[in-house]
Amino acid sequence: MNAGLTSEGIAALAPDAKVAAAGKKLGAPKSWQSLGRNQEALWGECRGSAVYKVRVDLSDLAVKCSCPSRKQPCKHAIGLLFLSLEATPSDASSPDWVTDWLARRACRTTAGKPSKGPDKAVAPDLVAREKREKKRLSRISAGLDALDLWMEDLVRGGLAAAGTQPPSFWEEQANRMVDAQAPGVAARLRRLSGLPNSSPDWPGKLLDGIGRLALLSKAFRRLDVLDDLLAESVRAEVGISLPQEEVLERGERVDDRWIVLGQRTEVEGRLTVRRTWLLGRDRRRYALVLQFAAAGSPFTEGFVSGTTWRGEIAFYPGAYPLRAVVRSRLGGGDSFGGLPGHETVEAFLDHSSEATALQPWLERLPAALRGVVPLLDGGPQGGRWLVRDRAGRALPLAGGEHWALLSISGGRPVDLAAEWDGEGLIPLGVAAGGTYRILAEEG
Amino acid sequence: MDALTRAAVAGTSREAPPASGLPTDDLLGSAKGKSLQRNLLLRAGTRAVYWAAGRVAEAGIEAPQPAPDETLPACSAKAAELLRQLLVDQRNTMLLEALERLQLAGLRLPHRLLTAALNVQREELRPAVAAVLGKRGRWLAGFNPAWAWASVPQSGGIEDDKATWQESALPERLKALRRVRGRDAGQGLLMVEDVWKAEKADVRVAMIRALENDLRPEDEAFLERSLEDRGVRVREVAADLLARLSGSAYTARATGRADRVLVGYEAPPHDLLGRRRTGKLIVTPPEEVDSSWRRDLPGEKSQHRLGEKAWRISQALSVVPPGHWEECFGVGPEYLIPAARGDWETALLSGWCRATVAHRATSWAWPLWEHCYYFPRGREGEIVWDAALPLAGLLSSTDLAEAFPRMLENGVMPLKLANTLISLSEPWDEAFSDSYLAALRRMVGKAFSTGSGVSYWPDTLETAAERLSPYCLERSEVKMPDLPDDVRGMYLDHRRHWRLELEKFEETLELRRRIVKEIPL
Repeated sequence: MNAGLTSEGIAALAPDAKVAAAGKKLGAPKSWQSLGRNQEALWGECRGSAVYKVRVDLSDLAVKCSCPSRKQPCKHAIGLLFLSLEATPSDASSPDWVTDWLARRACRTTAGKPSKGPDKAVAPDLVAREKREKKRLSRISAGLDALDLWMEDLVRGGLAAAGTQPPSFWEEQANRMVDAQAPGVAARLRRLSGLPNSSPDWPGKLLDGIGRLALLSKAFRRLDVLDDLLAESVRAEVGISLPQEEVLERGERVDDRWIVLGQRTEVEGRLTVRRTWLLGRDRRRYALVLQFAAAGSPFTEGFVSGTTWRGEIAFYPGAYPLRAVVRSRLGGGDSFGGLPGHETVEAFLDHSSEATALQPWLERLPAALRGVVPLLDGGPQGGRWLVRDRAGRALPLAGGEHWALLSISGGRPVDLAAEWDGEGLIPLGVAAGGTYRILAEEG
Repeated sequence: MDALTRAAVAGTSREAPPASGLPTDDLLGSAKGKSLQRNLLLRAGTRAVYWAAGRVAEAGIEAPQPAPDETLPACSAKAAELLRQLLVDQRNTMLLEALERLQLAGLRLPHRLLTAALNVQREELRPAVAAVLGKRGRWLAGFNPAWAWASVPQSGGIEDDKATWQESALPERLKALRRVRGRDAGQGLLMVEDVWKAEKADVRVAMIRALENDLRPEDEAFLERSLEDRGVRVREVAADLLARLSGSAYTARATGRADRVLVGYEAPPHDLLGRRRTGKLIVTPPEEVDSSWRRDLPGEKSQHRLGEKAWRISQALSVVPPGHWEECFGVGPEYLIPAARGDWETALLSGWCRATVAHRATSWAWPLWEHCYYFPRGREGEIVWDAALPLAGLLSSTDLAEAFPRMLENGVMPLKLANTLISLSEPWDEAFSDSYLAALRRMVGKAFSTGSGVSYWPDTLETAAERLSPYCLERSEVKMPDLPDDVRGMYLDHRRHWRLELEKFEETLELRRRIVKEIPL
């Protein structure tokens, strides 16, 4: 499994730079009392202020350590992964504390998946669920009515006035949408709150944002006349998410060799949200795995950017299915074997047009662009960062400076994975010379 | 700003929203029953989607000139990881060692480390970084003015530097001045003279100091004038530079003055075995000093804690190269230094120490340092040692190797020796490194078992870990005994201090062992 793991990848698994550095230090054999590995797992006993039992499930890089750290994965787990790059622990039969843990995990995973047998509780459950659903829809409708009025007031008074409002102006409205059980709308409002005065063209961006919110609100009142899949998308955008079990059961399933293009982690209130972008090597489908964790808690599944794993995912139903859950991962961490993707900028924009036409509220789309040259047009002072394809067509890069990307490309074509937010590409990783490198955001 | 956005910014209460003029207007159907605001919001929404779906790529962007192909291979992945860690943690001494090894091994940095390497702020690291950037690194540096120090030198010559001299901040101005001085010292001096009167004292000090490396006889007139500068630091630097300008009127005046102070050397008769005994120096302290003396020797007495006459003696000697006395009296420092004994010994030693440092008189450094090291304790001893410690910068570990075991007092490291080790100029040689390690191992055992011997060993460990010869890294492990559980009392903290410093020592050495292993020569 070590073929696909790199030290950068392991560092990216750590919850913060401190844990990564501490883990790196523990990645030396002298810190370990025992070490072992087999097909499924990697384990070891780390000498710290006590002896800690550390185990890693190699199928999804989930970890467990007996230490009391609140930061997960802890430095011991990161240390064990670093050590696996240097010295390969000999194959061995796993001790009970590893086998038991793996068995418990397997049980939990099976329990989480839909059962195939008949379920007697289905009928009463459905009734109750419909009742709950109806109640929620009416609360959301009432919330959206209030939102419509609030937005109308906003444009009546003028966006110039909105630019002078304190953050609480947006936050209060977002909280009202949370109370109305429309967290998707609340999250959009919070993102809009950062726009005023952030750039010279902020009024245009803000107008686009509230305009799309108005469209979403309108679409929500017309759920019954919308195409089924678009209706699913609208519900999801508002914040009514399907339970994972349902997605696993009825979502479109795609089996492929999935490349982990990259990850972005953001803190939203008390939650840490991680977006992991995938691209199927054979079927060329993009997918987004969203994970949520309370601050400081671990994400249940680990993904290492630049690695590939074979497995099946299930897409949340929608007009342009993008969000997905992993159904099965058969082994993980295959080494990177090149980035498939769009051969030209035009081809990517065509894809983006189709996606937008199907699902007009898409905020981010992954982009895998082959053979593009990153460049700084007009010099460092006031220059613009762009990528240019073979045909001479270019798209702007967003999210700060891109010196690392420029140094890896050296003015030559590279394959780039990025998030496209409609304005610019925010790089996730770059493939050059057969190696995939994660790109962190630069200031 | 388009009409729709303008209406939204101003507010519909003032301006009715226009149609967006896009096909999406038709999607909204009749405006009947919709408020102006609702209409505007929906139009803005459909227009946003329309634009997003119809986004076009930019054209007419020139492809950049690609970086030239590399001629050197990149270092191994493990070496790269090690270098990345050193860059991130700013372990500068070891980073320098690793970069220099990289250069010696004919390797370069991998491309992914270039940004971090170019962001190195420490001036002393930059030449070593520049040497291993490879073609890609130099190409990359050309895009960012902050990395100009590493980019391919531009064709611009003295004229560009003159422009920098006129327009930039002090550090850049000084760099430009040094470049011009390197190519045309006269031009450089003219640049300084042009702006001299308008600059503040601290800037004048920096400028005159910048003339140091390319000093030549043509600078004399300017330096002489600077002896009358209103800033005392400017005058001091001018005197210091003039003293190094051999053949100048200043050195003639300085030598004449010193010759009137140190007037003779009485060589003693040889003893019965034919060995020469210690002679005696004849000193005539100046009773009064004239204005020329004060002009040529502008320093402040209070800094040196000497009496008036002693201070004058020390001053007079400090601007004369020590080699002058060898010529005058026909004997070397090994005879002259012991001959300083007498009433004015402190003054003579302090003056010679300053002269040795200023003129980098390496043959005087060791005998002078050793003499001052053993100078009796007390107030005079402190004055002498303060003057002697800067000599350590001229000493090498080779000088110290033989005397080192003797200088330890029952294995204990005295403060003066510790301070000297910390100040040595170069990495330690193999023999000295082994000698240090052997003494350290003996002392560690002692310190942990008996707890006795408050010494300054731990203070030298950080320097030692960075300076020990790379050839003895493999045998450099120092075993740390367990701290007995029953240790109490005054030595406990001392032993904890030992333990902490030894742990850091071992960690640094381990890192250095990895540097040597991953970047083999």
